[in-house]
Amino acid sequence: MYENFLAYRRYFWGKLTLATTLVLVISYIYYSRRVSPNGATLVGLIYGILSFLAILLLMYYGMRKRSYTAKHWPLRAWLSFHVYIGTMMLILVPLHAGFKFGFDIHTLA
Amino acid sequence: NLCPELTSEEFHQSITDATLKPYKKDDGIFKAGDDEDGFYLIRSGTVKIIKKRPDGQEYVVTYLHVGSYFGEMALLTEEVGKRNATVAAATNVEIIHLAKQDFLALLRSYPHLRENMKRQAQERNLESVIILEAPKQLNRMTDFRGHGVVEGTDVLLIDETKCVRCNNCVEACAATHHGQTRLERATGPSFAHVHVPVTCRHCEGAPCLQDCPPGDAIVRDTDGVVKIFADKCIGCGNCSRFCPYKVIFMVEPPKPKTSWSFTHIIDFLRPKKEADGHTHGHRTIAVKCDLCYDIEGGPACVRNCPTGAAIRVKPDFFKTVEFHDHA
Repeated sequence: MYENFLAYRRYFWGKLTLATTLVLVISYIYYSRRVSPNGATLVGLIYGILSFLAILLLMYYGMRKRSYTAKHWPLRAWLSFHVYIGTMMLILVPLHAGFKFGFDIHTLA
Repeated sequence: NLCPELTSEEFHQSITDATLKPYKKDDGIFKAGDDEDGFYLIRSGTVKIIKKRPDGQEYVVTYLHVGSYFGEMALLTEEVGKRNATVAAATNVEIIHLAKQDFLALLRSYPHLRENMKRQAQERNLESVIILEAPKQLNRMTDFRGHGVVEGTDVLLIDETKCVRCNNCVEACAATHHGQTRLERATGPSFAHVHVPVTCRHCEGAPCLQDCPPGDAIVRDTDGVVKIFADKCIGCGNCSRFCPYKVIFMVEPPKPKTSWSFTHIIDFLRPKKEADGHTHGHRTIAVKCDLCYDIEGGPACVRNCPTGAAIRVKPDFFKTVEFHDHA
């Protein structure tokens, strides 16, 4: 209880985020060499679906925070997850889009 | 447990010659330098152990609570010992006093007791040396003491380096108690980086228990939790007035849940103030923190703090933590 929520369980979510980001970036490097990367390719869709599921869980944090008698898991754990995985989205969503940032509806999304 | 083989029946037999002495808050029990005058066991209340630093300043080295003993150091030597500290009552106390002969007889019957006590006496001496060397730590304790934090048996503290002022602790308290929070986060003093919000400290010598007309509307149960039974409370406000920390709130009895209506949207949208739920109606009853004794999982405030800033501490906490002053 005395540790920072970022250090929850010895930075478990931080380490997981870093590892996952590395794996995803390395897979992107291989993928982008073979195919022109965009959201409609198979790998691009996989990135997109992962992002979507992650965002659902990130939004669930708001519901969990206001559920005052819930037991699973400690709220600090949820916040640690929310902050680290939320930061990972900054990488994962552009991976899905193939780093294409035009002035259109796709970039808005 | 100092002496596992000493059963409570045997202990009661050994102390038949003991006397029960009451002391009022701040009464002296003995002074440093006095001749030893027996062994003391605390039956109720808290005492403070005071020592002098070399520069002459007196400091409260520690507090001892129910079940603790003191006065043993001067008795463990063969000659007539002198007291090495001043002891005074921190709250109204009841002390069981055992004369030296009876105490030594007890030690003779239970040799382990003597060894354990000697060991603990050494630890106590070491602790007071450490504490006397660290005056800043001690000033913090005095600051906290003035707000009932050391006297309290279960205190909510907020680490200001982690608190993001999201108020989830207050929301959680209200949500688990018919919309009436027993915790006001923003008010209350801060010392170094530790904030003491306005909520019950579950004091050992709780002043709020003094004058309850029904007698048992506000009680301290065997776990040390001070709680109010809403069905017995007549709303006289005595407990609220007696509380020095103003943690007992007079509120309207909780309204039964009405069906959903337009006013619920208005209620949901308007900005909330901390004292919402503390309205002044015709009839009010007293409410206070009850450590969520009837809720599974324990205190809702701590469970619902997202950053882990809210912690509940017992008096021993102050020996284990360092306080850093932030600019």
